[in-house]
Formats: sequence, structure tokens, C-alpha cells
Amino acid sequence: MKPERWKRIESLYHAALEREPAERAAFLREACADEDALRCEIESLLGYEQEAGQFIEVPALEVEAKRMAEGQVESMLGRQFGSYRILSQLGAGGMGEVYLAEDIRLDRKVAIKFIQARSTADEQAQKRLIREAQAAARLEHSNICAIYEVGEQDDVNFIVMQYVEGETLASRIQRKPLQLGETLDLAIKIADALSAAHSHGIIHRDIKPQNIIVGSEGQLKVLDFGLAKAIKQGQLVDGEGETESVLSTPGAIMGTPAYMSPEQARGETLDARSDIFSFGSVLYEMVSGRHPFAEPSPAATLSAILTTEPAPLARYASDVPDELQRIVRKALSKSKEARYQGVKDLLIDLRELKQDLELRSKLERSIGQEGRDRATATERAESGGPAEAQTGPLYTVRTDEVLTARTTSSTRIVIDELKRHKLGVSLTVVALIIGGVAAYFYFNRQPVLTEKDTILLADFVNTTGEPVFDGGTLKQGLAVQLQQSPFLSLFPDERVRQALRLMSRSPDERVTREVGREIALRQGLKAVITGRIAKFDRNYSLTLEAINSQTGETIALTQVETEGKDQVLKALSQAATQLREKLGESLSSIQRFDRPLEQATTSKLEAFQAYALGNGLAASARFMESIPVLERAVEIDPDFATAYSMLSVMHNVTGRPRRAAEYAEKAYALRDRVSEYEKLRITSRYHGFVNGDETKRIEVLILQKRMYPRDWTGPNDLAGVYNRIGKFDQAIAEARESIGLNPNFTPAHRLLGWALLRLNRFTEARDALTQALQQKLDTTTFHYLLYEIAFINNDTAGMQQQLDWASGKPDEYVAFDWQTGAAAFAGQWRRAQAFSRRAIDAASRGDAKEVVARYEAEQALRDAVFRQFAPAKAAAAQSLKLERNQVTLTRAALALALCDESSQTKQLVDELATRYPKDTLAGGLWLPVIRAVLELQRGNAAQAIELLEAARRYEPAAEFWPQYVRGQAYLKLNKGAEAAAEFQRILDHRGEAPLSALYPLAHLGVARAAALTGDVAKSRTEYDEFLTLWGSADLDSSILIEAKKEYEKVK
Amino acid sequence: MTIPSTQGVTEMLVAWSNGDKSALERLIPLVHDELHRLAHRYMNRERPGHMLQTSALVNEAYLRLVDASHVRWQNRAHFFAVSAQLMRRILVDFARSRNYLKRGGDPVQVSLDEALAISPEQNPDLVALDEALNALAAIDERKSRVVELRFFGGLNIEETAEVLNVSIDTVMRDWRLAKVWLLRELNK
Repeated sequence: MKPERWKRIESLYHAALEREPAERAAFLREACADEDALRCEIESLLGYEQEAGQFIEVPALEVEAKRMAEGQVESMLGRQFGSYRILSQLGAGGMGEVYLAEDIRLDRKVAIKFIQARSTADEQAQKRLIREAQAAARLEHSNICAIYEVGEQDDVNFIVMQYVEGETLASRIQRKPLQLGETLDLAIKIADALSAAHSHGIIHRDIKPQNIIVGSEGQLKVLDFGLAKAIKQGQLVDGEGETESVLSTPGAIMGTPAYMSPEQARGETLDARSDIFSFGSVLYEMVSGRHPFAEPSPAATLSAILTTEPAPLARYASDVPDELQRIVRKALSKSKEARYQGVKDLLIDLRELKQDLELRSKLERSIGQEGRDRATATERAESGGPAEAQTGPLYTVRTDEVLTARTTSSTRIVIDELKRHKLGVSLTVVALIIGGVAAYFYFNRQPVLTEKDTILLADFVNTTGEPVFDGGTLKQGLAVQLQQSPFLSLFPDERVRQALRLMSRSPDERVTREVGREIALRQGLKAVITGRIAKFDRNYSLTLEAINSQTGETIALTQVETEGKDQVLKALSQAATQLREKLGESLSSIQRFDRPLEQATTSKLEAFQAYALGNGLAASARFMESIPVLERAVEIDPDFATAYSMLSVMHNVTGRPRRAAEYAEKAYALRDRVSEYEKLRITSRYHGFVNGDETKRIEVLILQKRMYPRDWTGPNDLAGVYNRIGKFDQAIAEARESIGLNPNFTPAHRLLGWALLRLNRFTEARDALTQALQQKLDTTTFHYLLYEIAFINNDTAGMQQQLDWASGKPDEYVAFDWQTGAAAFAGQWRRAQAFSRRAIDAASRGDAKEVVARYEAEQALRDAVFRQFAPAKAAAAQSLKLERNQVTLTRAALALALCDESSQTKQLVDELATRYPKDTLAGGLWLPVIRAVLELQRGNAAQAIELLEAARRYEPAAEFWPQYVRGQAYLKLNKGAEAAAEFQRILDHRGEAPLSALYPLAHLGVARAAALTGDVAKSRTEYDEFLTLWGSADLDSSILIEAKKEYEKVK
Repeated sequence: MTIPSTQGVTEMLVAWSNGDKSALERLIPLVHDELHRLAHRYMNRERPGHMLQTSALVNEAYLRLVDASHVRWQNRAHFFAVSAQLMRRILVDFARSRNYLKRGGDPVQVSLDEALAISPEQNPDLVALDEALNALAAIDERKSRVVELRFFGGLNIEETAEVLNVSIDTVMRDWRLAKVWLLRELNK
């Protein structure tokens, strides 16, 4: 065809299409004039227009896949295996298909499951699966789906099973809530089946509603006994397989890990008690209609299984007997020791409960009958005359529910459900086989390292002559990659520095292969990993070598070559993965915890270099210095999630909550790019810094600790959270755990010192801090805490020492802030003002706007305490002008409440409640205190006290405010004893806020309270105490003048 | 360790387009795996309203096979073109060998589940379509490429326009005419 002609066809075709169908013929006749052939051609094409609608709209891949599916089913139908003829397909999965078949010999229907192996790994699993099926075939129980035969024909293995008509328990629960009696009947059958299997040594391991078929007459069969176990046997040797395969595969296909037991979630070896937990979950769901640990993601569900107590059943279902609640709770105990030890005991409890309920319901029915009789009598009485006092119907008894165990609804055979169910099982099975078999092989290969070994990273040898590969960039990269592995534990950099010092070397000396070996020998580390980068033309070659530190032999060696500098991080990540494998980590573990470096971090070498540097500074708690370096990293790569996350921490610990929240949010948005490990950290920071939701943050951190038990940042971060919410005992335990894992991790020492001081353990706190300093660890907080301790001890020289330290540091403004506190404590408001001004000025010079705003807010609060209301309001306004974050909003609102600015305060309270609805401290501490002050201003002292009840939980973190306001409220109510108790609680906990201006005022409070109760002596002593502390106070202070006047009266 | 990943496939595609013939051999099993994966899902006939609709599955499969987001140093358009060409080749070969097997096998006539039945008008035999597409190329090369990119390569209209460096409108017009032309060709 000539191109011109084709062009004409094309344009006329589209022109015709633009017209109404009816007008097209006329249009073409006119347009084609006398060229009939042309007109015919176009008309014939137009003729296919209708038919072409869906033609090739489905992509070829889909078309071919459907044909293939069709072909596979087609080829099976009608075929005969042994005496079984295939009738139709029931379901399909990765391991093979399930068909409905006819047993010609016995003339009955059966389900037949074909096991297909696609790889040698599969074959191993297949053999084990068949062996287990043979074992399970011996189980004979009316509630267990029977296995008739395990056969083989034409190299195809198949399992012939009883064909069970009915619907899955999952679909039954969804369709209509189960009644109590029904639930108990079904539960007893499940427990009975489990009990029979357990007595044969067969654990189910995958008990869930999808695995239980319920017939229309209440019959029940548990499916796939032993099959799950078979698959997972390979995993018994592997500590982690199961959890991983669940997490690493999209939940939609895998189903959820929802019915796993905690030990299963942790990947431990299982016994019958694991089935009991899973059964507990099923039972919970049968009663309540919802899953006890339902969470949107598999990871969150696992976390819930490990940490969350399910809500009481009574919340979702009325009339749940206490006994049933107890049974479920016992079955769902996190600790297997606390659970039922055998399913028999559980079965007995269920049967007894059933009998009890039946008995009670009979009883109630008879009483109910009586009640109805009486009610009838009453009606009669009413119609005849004035009614007697009657109790009316006694119960509205749900007898029907209790007694009717079987529904009469004739349930259709829901084949779809069965199919779906089979698929779910088979897919899970396959994923587990792959994980399990891999783990098995690797275990048998005698891993060169075991999980308890710690390894040392030596510095890289760089022969490329390119400085970008100097200075720890590659080492840090390798560390990031290896840290993802729960299998390997790295000897921390900080400890390397210390070890070098012990060897009388410079802590900054390069750790060569030889030096590395020496450190490893001294520290009892099993292996050293060395790295080398070289360049040939444009190609880079990366070599990683693991050396046995005892013998110096090479235990693993990998080499990766790559073209171009940009590919080096990627190559490093490949090499690291290979090394992990060679060191004996299971494949399943590697697959799950192996996010390539360039995704986990960044593909930009310079960005990574900056991050490596910033990370090092952060680990030494040089927070201020790390910020600009990390900011450089995200400037080079704006998608660098891990760097954002680290920045959020740095801003948080240096007092910039808003910036911290911004960075935490950015990291959170990019969290899918990072490793599992980093994702957990990013998530916990998101909850903490963005939402202030400390409860959620604790949950995630606990999960992080479980998954990476040798990572010291988990307990460190947890210690930080506990400190924030005033749980100092727990903070001490966590900080100590972190220090135990890495004695040179500065942040943990700072948290330990903090918690000890807050608990009045002054000497211990000072010793801990001094010891850390002797370890050559240092950070601002150490000196802040030492300043507070010196202040408590009236040790002016000690105080001065800390002030001197701060001078010249990037955050030297902190020293003025400490002195502000000291002046205010002594009643010197003017001096405090002056120091505060200097702190603000100094902070304004640096990039510390949020810090300035916080200082302004604290000044407002201080002014209000000193009854300097005008400056207080001005400072509050200034603070809010600069920044409206959790810190400034709470402090400014409290200051304004104290100034009796109620409408303004209420606005701030609303803003806080709206913007930070999940903030643990805002809601659990500051809002109740602020609202209480407002009430107190209005003279509603009793209400104020009531409001403050909500603040009790986190009171130790509140720097005396709840106690102080409560004390004032009791004074207003003339309740001297109660007031004295509140103020005394401040005096007893000086460590909670050593520089607080409220502390001396608490003495004044006790003095006034004692005067109220007539305890003149006590009152006098306390006035004395107060006046001593305020010995150099501003003479014109109205507080001082009042106190002196009152003192005259008791003297 | 070589776990077949998107990047692996991408690299093979790139290698193939640079003349490495062995890359094709290595690619075939990967495509085959995707086909099997999809086929299993179809056999299971996921319930309506299930979160993974089939079109999402197919998109996912295409993404696993040809994900241009990992191609940094090659131009995207070239990459898409190569992968569509390859998909065509591999899928047509599969279809051809399956047709052959079917003719040789023992035909069992059974009624199939509706969900599996595919009406031939809507989804042609890939071998016949391949031939028709060659015929179309002889008349109008670009239209045959539009079909190749969309039907075999799984690209959407925008991506197709990008590869061919024409407007979206042009792709839509080409697509419409190509469809009727091919349909007529197959009915001849």
C-alpha cells in the first residue's frame, strides 16, 4: 500500500469517527467521491470498531498467564491418579493445586493436593512434607480432617484428604456473630482435636480460623495437621526463620502472622503450648468477633503479640462469663509457663464452663418463669387496684443464646472459601519451606561464626589515591550494612578507641589488619574484617576479608568489581551481603535484613561521607557539632532518610522540638527506603518527636530491642523516653543495659547520670559522671548535671568548674541558663533576668531560635512565679512569636494562667490539644496543671485538685508544678495537713529539679500550712529555712515582704 | 549470591540491547516465573474485592520485570522500547510452544470456570497477533510499535508517547486504528 493512500485512510477514518454513526456513510460517500475501494476499506475498518472495544486492552503478560492457568487446570481435569479421578479445582498455591476428586473404588469425594517441586530446595521440603503427612495420616479423630493416602504417580506426589463440606471458621465468624453456646461447642471440638494430635506428638503450628471448617450441623474439622510442622522442621534449627518469612513477604499474600504465639514470633523452638496460644487467639475472636492483636501491618501485629495485652473481652461482647475471660487470658499468656501446660487442662475448663452455663441457664429459666408469673400477677393487681411494691421481671435472660448451640441456618457448601483457604496455606507453606530449607542447609554447613560472636572492623586500605575513600567512609558504610544483621554484632568504634589507649597507642590510630587482630585477641573477639579498595582504569575493586583473630587465617573472602565511583557503595553492599552469607548467616535472615546500602542510606558518596562523620560525632554526644555535618548530607541527597532521622535526634537533644519533628517526619515519609533496623528507629522517633506519643515510642523500642538484642541504641533510647516521662528507675536499668553493651557510648552515660540525680542519688550520679569523664567521654549534659549536684552541695568551686567548661563550646549559652536557675532559686529575680537575657542573646547568635523561644517561655514562667506579671506576659508573647511547639506552648500557657490571663490561656490549651492530641506529656501532665491553675485563679480550689489527679502518673517529670499547685489549692481550702504533705513532696525530691524556684517556695508553703494546723514550731523552722535560702533575695520582692510579715507572727 | 531482582533483569535487558545474546537466555526463565506466579493467582480466582486485583498483579509483574526507575545511565525511552520488544519475543515463543504441546496432547473437553474462560475476540492468540503485527509494521511502523509497547510492554499511553516522542493524542489515534486493523487482519 502506498503511504499516501494509508494516510488518507487514516485521516478519513478518524474524521468518520468524529461523526455520529448514522451520518458516517453519507460522509464517506461524499469524501471518497468516486473512489469506491477507498470507501470500502474505511467502512470495513469501521465495522470492527464496536468489536475492538476490549481487544488487546489486557496486557500480553496477563493474557498468556491466563492461558497458562487455563491449560494447567484443563490438563488435570478428568485425569486419574490411582483410584482418584479429578473433578474440579478447589484451590491453588505455590506448592501445588488442590482438586476435588472422586474415589472410584470407594465411591466418595476426596480432596487431593498435589505437591510440586520446582527446585532442589523444594524437593527436600517436599520429602519432609510427605513424611509428615504419613505421620499425620495415623491421626484418627472426628474433628481432624483425615489424610487417606500419600501417593505418587508420574513423578507427581499427592496427598489425598477427606473432603470436608462447610465453611471456614473465619467466614463463619464474619458472617454472623457466634453465640456463646455455639462458641463453646466449637471450641471444645477444636481443643479435642488438638489434644488428640498432641498426644501423638504432632503439633499443628498453624491454628487459625482459616484452617478450621465448620459444617452446617455444627460439625468441625481441623485441617492440615502436621503439615505446617513438617515444613517448619528445617527451621527448628534456625532461630529466626519464621518471623522473617512473614515479614519479608507482602501481607496480602501471606496472610497475617496474627495467630502466631510469642515464641513463634520470636522464631524459637515450639512445643504444644504454642498451639494453645494460637487457639486462645481463635477463641478470643470467636467470642468478640475481632482479633486480639489486630494491627494494620504484619510487623505491628507481631509487636502486639509480643507486647500488648488484649483488651478484655467484655469490651466487645456483653455477657462474657468471667470464667471464659479467665480461660482466654490464661491461654494468651505471653509466657508459655503461665499458659495452660497442656490442652487437656484447657479442654476440662471449657467443658466445666459449658456445664455451668447450662445449669445456670436452666436455673434462670425457672426463675425467669417465676418472674413472668409474678409480673402477670402484678398486672392483674394493677387492673384491680393500687399496685404493691413489686420487683417486676427479675432478668432478661438470654437463655436461647446459651442453650442453642447449633444454628439452624443451612449453610451452603462454600467452595470458594475452601479454595481460598487452601491457597493461603499452600503459599505460606512454600514461603516457609524456602526459608526453612535454606536455614537448614546453612546450619549444616557449620557456620564460621555463631550468633554470639562479636567482630571488629579494621580500617579500609585505600590504594585509589582518592580522598573520598579515606576517613572511614567505607568502614562506616560496611558497618551500616552489617548492622542490619541480627546475626552479627560489631565491636563499637568507641571501644576500639579505648582499646587502643589501653595498648598505649593513640585512640585515633588507624586500625590496620595487625592492630585489629591485636585488639580482637585482647578483647576476646573472634574475627576481624578488613577491607581494601583499589582502582584499575575506571574500575574499582572492593575486597572484604574476615580473619580468625586467633590464627590469622582467612575465614571468608569476597571481592566485587564495579565501574565508576558512583557504584562503589552498591558494590560495598553486595560484598557485605556475600560476606554475611559466608560467615554463616542464614539466607532467610539475609534476605530479610538486607536493604542495599544505597537504599538504606544514600547512593551519593559525598552525602554518605558527611553522614558517617555526623554519626561519629553523635555517638560521642557531640550533638551540636554533628548538626551542620548531617545537614550537609541531606543537602547533597534530599532523600537520605537515615540522615534525616539522625538529625531529628540531634535537634531533639539540643532543645529544638519543632525541627526534630520536621526531620523525624521527613525520615518517616522515606522509611520504605531503609533497612528494617533503621525503619524501626525512624518509626520510634516519629512517634516520639512528631506526636510526642511516648507510649507508642516505648512499644516500638521494645520491639527494636527484641529484634536487635545486642544493639545498644535501643536501651539507650528507651532510657531517654523513661527519663522524659519521669520513670527514672526504668531509665537507670535501660541506660545500664546500653552501657553494658557499649561502655563507651556517651549518650547512655548521660541518661544514667540524669536518672540517678533525679532520684536524689547524688553521690552515685556524680560518681557515674566522673567515671564517664575519666573514660574520656564528654558532653554538655554531664556538666549540667554536675553543676546541679554542686549547687545542691553548695559547692561554688564545683559550679564554677562546670561554667568554665561550657565557655567557648558551641552551646555555651547553657551556662547562662544554669546561672539563671541558681539566681532565681535564691530569690534574685533581677539577677535571674540578667542571666536569662544573656542566655537568650548568646543563643540568638547561634542558630538556636527554638532554644531562645524556650528560654523566653521559661523566663515567662519564672516572672509569673515572682509575680512580675507584665514582664511574664511579654516574655510569653515573645516566646510564642518565635516558636509554637510543645515546649513553648505548655510553658507560656502555664505562665499566662498564673498571670490570670484566662482567655489567652484557653486558646493555647486548645491549640495544644488540637495540634498534639497524642502527646503523652502535654495531655498527661501540662494540660491538667494549666487547667488546675485556671480553676485555682477562679477560686475553685477543689476542682483544681481534682484536675491535678490526671497529672499524677508523670509527676516526677513535672519539675514540681503539680505538687506546688496542689499545695496552694489545699492552702486555699484551709487544709493545712494536706497542703504540708504536697509541699513536703517537693522538698523530698529535690533531685527532680535542683534549680527550680519552686523548691524554696515549698518551704514557705510548709510554713504556711503548719501555721494553719497550729504547729507553730514547725512553721517557724520552715520560715527560717525559706528566709535562709532567700537570704540574698531582692529586698523589694512582694513574696519576701509577705513572708517576713508572716514570720513575725509566729516568732 | 544472585537473587533475581529487578535490577538483575534491568541489567540483562540493557546487556541484551547492547548485543549480549546470552542475556536473552537468562531472561526467559524470569519471565516464565512471573507467568507462573500470575497463573497461580488466576487459578485461585481471588474473591471480588480482594485487595490484590488482577490488574494490580499484572502491573506488579511488569514492574518486577521492567522497572525503568533503576535505569540511570541509559535513556528511559530506549529501555522501554527494548523491553517491549523482548517481552513480545518471549511471550510469543511461549505461546507457540504451548500451542504445539496442546496439539500433541490428549484433548479433554471439559467446561471451564467462567473466570478462566477468555473470549478469543478480546484476547487473541499471541502467535497470530504477532504475525498480524508484522503485517501492520509493513504499512505503518509506528502503529505496530504503539501496539508492541502497550500490549507487550505493558506501558500506558503517556509512557508510550514518551518512548515514541509523539503526543498523547497521536498515540490514542494510532492505538484506535491499529486495533481495528489488527482485528480485521485476524478475522481474515
